[in-house]
Formats: sequence, structure tokens, C-alpha cells
Amino acid sequence: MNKDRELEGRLRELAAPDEADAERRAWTVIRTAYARREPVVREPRRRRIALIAAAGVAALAIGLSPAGAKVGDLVSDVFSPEEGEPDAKPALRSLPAAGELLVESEQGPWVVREDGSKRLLGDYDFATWSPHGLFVAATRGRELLALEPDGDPRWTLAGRGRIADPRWAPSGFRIAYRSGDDLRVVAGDGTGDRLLAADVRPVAPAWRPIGPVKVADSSAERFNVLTYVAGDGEIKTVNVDTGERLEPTRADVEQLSTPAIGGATRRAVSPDGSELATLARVGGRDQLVVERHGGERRRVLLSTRGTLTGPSWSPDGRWLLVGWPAADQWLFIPAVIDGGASRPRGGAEVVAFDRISEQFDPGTPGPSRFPRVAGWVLPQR
Amino acid sequence: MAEGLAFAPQSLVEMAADSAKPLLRNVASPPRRRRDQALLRDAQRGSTEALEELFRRHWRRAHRAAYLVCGDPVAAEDIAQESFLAAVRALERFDRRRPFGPWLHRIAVNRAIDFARARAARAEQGLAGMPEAPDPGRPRQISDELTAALSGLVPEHRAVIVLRYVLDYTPGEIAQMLGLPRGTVNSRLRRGLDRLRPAIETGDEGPIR
Repeated sequence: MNKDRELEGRLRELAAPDEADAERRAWTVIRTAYARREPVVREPRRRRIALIAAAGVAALAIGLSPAGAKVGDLVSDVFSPEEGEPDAKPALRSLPAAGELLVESEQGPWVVREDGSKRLLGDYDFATWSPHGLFVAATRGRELLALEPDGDPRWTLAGRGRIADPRWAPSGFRIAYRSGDDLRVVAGDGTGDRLLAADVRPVAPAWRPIGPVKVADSSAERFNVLTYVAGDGEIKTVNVDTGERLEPTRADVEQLSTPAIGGATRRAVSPDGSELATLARVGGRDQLVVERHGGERRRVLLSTRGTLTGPSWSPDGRWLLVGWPAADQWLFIPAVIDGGASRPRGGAEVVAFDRISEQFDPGTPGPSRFPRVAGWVLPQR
Repeated sequence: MAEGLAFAPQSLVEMAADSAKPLLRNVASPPRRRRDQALLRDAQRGSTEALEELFRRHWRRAHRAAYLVCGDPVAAEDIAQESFLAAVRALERFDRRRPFGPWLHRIAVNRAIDFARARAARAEQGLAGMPEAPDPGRPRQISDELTAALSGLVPEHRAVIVLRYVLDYTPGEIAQMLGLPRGTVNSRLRRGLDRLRPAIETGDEGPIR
């Protein structure tokens, strides 16, 4: 213990070389930047409020009327695909809801914290959150890794084929992934790796949400239920622990990221499992549509001529994040609309951020691949 | 709910780390020192003197932390400078209820980690990126050994050690700053100290300052 104390004392004595000169140089730069800074002019709010009110009215009107296209035009008139959201903030400063984003970019996955700060995890692919945001599963060639949220590997597993599409089960105890043409499952601590199915389609498997769990509920069929697409195209649902085959539900199928199911290409189930957000291509436009399972309470939150990416739900289910590559923007759209009011509940407004590609691919000359949001979780650390 | 990872019990490590809170945390503070919030307010209103006091108060620790995490003196100066410039740019929007020091230090340390990681990924870690080798003509200093040992840790572990023992943040604060579980911070502290201890146990081998 005395050695620890001595070591701690020695660490406190460490210094950088040339500290005084570095400080003098830095102060010159900072004083100059401070003198030249431009005072921040608060953006006029009236235009934004009018925009949001229009979006709110649009959403309500669409909810009440099948003639959604006309109102969709109203929204898209505001969001020009060439210029993007005009009041977008120049850089990602903070998230509108609690939680952390996992973002895949040219350089690898990033974790973005609520205050807008971000961390590059390393040169990995196919990053995905663990359900409670404590770890990230990612791949590197033939390796599957569990990473700490700062990118430090917790464990590594070597596969026989190239590894893709890891998906962490909502229980937290299983990870499904594709290895070559195989579908495999491994425990959350990297043990017990085993083949689940050979010769599967190159589609990311999807776990069934477990929803709220009662203390007395120990029924095994609720947990670790996986849906995947077999080599012959058949959609299969199986309890990976018991091996029991189950009938795929509509929700199971909706979880799969199969292309072009019912005209929709991209979808995400809300955190409480009650609603489905879809990006649909309708009449040459991309629409962000939210509805309850079964098509109830359908509402269009956004309609643009440009292609959108996503969507991703905030952990509290109150926001949807969509990407807008043509405008190089992210849009955070309030997902909850008051029943009788013309504004999103709580007075929330659309929040837009500009120059997204550059922020996730710093230092690279020329255009960058538009980053993809791989998840938004509220870490339970 | 668990995430399914098998962890070693951390309770003893956590107790040990928490009980080792720095004793000198407030001793160095001069009496009647103006609070950061007041300086921030004045700097937001255009006071260069207030900004300079903030700078003098926080720069050196940010610079030191950046150097010890990234191991490159030139990059460390840039990182600390850029971090403070980010503060200047965001000055008008800065929420004065938030503590300024941790905000600045978190930016500096995270950027230093990113720098170290990027350099490692590019396999560019040559002589330029390493702490200076001791001049054989001058007496060997224990800080040389310790800095070299520190550079042997991965950047993420270095950052935890630096935040704890150079900047005097608590494990809970470090967990917040780096977005890590507290148990991870504690285990990294424990492992880091174990790795660094040999660096101060070589004291009998030569003239140590």
C-alpha cells in the first residue's frame, strides 16, 4: 500500500516538457481568438415555431385524413432537398434526449454522448449496442469483439469466415452473428460459441423484443428468440436456448431489415414496442411514417424529395433521428404529437445539425460516406 | 439487468480506490479565489482578464494530461490549445452551471486518446511519438521511468490513470467523463498501478532525483 501511495505521488509530479513556453504560446493564440470572436446572435425563433406548427398540423391532418400527400407537400416545401433544414446548427452539439448514439462512419464506429462529444472506437465494422449500452459488439474481418464504450476490447472471438451483422439479444446474454454463410450464437461474455444454422441469407438476424418483464415471469420462450432468413428464403423464428421453432409474428418479420417489404425499406420499432417508424418511398418522396402495429394512428412526420436514412428512436421514445445525406444533415423529429394540439407534445421542435459527414470523418479530404446511426441507447452504467 | 458478461467482483477494488481520494484536492486553492462560474460570466461579457484567469487555472493541467495520454509533446500542445479554443468558441453558449475544468479536461483527454489510437492504428509509433529516452549523460530520473511505463499502457488505461492521479478526479467523475462503467474505471486503476509499480522500484539501480 505504501508503494501505491509513493506511486500516486510520483504520478502527480509528472509534467509535460516545455510547459511554460507551451503555455505562453497557447495564451497568445487563445487571446487572439477571443479578441476576434463574433458575438453569438440568437436565431429568431418565430420562423422555426411556424415551421414546427406547420409540421404538427400536417401530422395531425394526415392522422385524420387519408389525403396525406397534400400535407406532405406542405412539410417538404419547408425542407428543401437541395439546401436542407435552413436553421440547422453547424455542428452536432448535443442530443435532444438522454442517451448515447452509436454511429458507423468511414473511419469506424463512434459513440456520441448526450452533450455532443464523440469517441471513435477504432477500425471496426457492424457495430451494435448491447441492450443496456454497457458494451458494443463489432467486427474486424474474421473477428467478433465486445468493446467497452471507449473502444477498449473486452473479449475477441475468431471466426472461420468473415463476420457480419452481430446483434445483441435484448436479454443481454446472447449475441447472434453471421460468419460466412453460417448463423452463429455466442454468450455475452464471449463463451459458448455455436452454430445455429448453416447456409443463411445475408440478412441481419433480429431478436424478438422481450418487453417489460415481470419478476415472476420465467417463461423461457420470451427470451432469446431469434428470427432469420434461411438459405431457401424462408423466414424462421427459433428460441436459441431451447431450439424450439416458433411461428414468426408480423413483429418478428418487421424487425428484419429485409428490403422492400410492403414498399418500405427502413423501419424501427419504438423502445416500448408499441409503434413502428418507417421510411417509405412514396411517389418519389421519402416519408417518415409512424404508426401503431396494425396500421393504427398512422401519421407522416416528414416528407422530402431527398432520400432519408434511419430511422432511430430515442430511448424515451419521444424523438426520431433520420439522416438526410443530400443535405448532409441529421434531423431529430419529435415523435409524440398531442391529440388536440397543433404542436408536438412538450413544445419540442425539430432539431437539425449540419455537416454531419465531415464530423465523423475528420481529416479526410473530399466527400465522405454519410454516417449511419446504429443505435441510440440510454446506458445503464 | 445484466449484460451477460462475467466480471470479477469489483467491490474491494472500488473500496480501495474510493478511499484513496486525493488529500490535497483543495489545499492548493488560494483563499477567496473567484469561482469559475464568475470568471465564465465575465469572459462571456468580454473580459480578457477573466478569460486569462480561467486559462491560467486550467491550461497547464489540460496540457499535462494531453501529453501523458498521447505521449507526443507537439500533439499535446495542439490538443490542449484546440480544447481551449473550443471553449472560447462555445463561450456564449456555455452553461455556467456546469463545471468548466472537467469539461475542458474531458475534451483534452478524449482528443489525446483519439490521437494515440489513430497513431497506433497507422503503425506510426516511431521515435517521434515516444517519450524522450533519458540522456545517458544526465542523472536518470524516476519521472523518465514512470513516463515510459505509462506509455506502455493502452491509451484508454493511461487516460484513467492520468485523470485520477494527475488531475485528481474521483473514479465516479472519471466514469462520467469517459462514459465508462465505474467498475471499469476502478479495475483499470488497479491494473494500471500494478503495471506502473516496477517503474518506481528501480530506485536502487542508479542515481534518482
